[in-house]
Amino acid sequence: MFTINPRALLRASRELIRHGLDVDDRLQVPLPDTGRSGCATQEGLERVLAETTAVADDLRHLGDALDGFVTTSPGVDGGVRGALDRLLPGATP
Amino acid sequence: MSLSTSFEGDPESCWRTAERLAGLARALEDARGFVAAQATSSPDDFDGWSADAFRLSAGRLHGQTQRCETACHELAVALTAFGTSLDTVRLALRRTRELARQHLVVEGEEILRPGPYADDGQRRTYELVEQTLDQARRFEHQAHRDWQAALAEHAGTAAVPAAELPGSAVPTEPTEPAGSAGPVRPHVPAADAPVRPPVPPAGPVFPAGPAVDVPVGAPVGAAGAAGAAAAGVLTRQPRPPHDLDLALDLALEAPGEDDWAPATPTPHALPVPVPWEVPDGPR
Repeated sequence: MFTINPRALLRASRELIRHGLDVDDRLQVPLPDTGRSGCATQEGLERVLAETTAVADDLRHLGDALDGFVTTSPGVDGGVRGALDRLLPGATP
Repeated sequence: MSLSTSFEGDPESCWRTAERLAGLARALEDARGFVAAQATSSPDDFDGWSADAFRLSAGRLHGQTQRCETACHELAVALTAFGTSLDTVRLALRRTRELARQHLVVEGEEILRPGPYADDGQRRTYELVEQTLDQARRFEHQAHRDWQAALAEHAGTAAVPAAELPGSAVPTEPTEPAGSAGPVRPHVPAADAPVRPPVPPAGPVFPAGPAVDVPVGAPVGAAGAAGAAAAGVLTRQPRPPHDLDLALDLALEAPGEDDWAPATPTPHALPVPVPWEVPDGPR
């Protein structure tokens, strides 16, 4: 058995998706002209932005997974194996 | 032999990028706060295996978000400081070029060494220009080192050895404090070279001041300070070394060639005697 508050979880899923989209919107960072440090600057910013892009994707995926779980949970019993798999760390949507 | 006043980089683009990084860090901070709340949410709303899995995922995501937030924030701070340093160097080079143009021969960005028949004022001007350029290049070199160190620490780029850093040809021996009688001349080739007499400082003394608050993602000018005050984001920035003070003073005291300013003599302009009687011999 499990306890679920669909309204609270749906609100949480929307917030997760919103935060993911908000981070995604701010990922357009121009490359500065740092003169002789240009190569290191490009490499460093690309690394940070790539990791941040992954975070934004994970935020949206977790929100989608939570939304899917809340949507499917009324029709199943306490196992909810499919939705549980989606919520596990490292799961892909 | 000539002195180069060429400059690489764009401080404004550094400030723009730093501002975007600071905005990204704020978005990540908001997300991190929400994810942290979800990782420790009450079991009254969500309980069971799925709830545990969700909290585990939220906790993992919290750590990732925090790392990215820290990296973006620290890089924004470092890039703002780097842009400010580049701007200082650019201004110092511009002012030095302007000073040299009044007394020496300047071809493009190159300041030519005065010839054998130059007067004492021109030689002293050249020495002053040489010292100022040396300090500006040292400060530029240190700014690149600091920025690349920040990249290595927060973005995981390879740490560049000191020998490969830009401007590493500049000697690294410590310079004397500002205002001292004998400035270090790092380009003297040999120990038996003739020692030049100390050149008195042409401008005021620049004592080291306290640390300053610099807004993230904004220049330190008046407009930048106003924008940063509106943003409400301040960060503590270390006080730059004393060699910046000379460059800063040279940059800020005299009006630049591109700035509007009344036609007043610069405080660094040395008196150049005008010979009314041309001596005999070739000139």
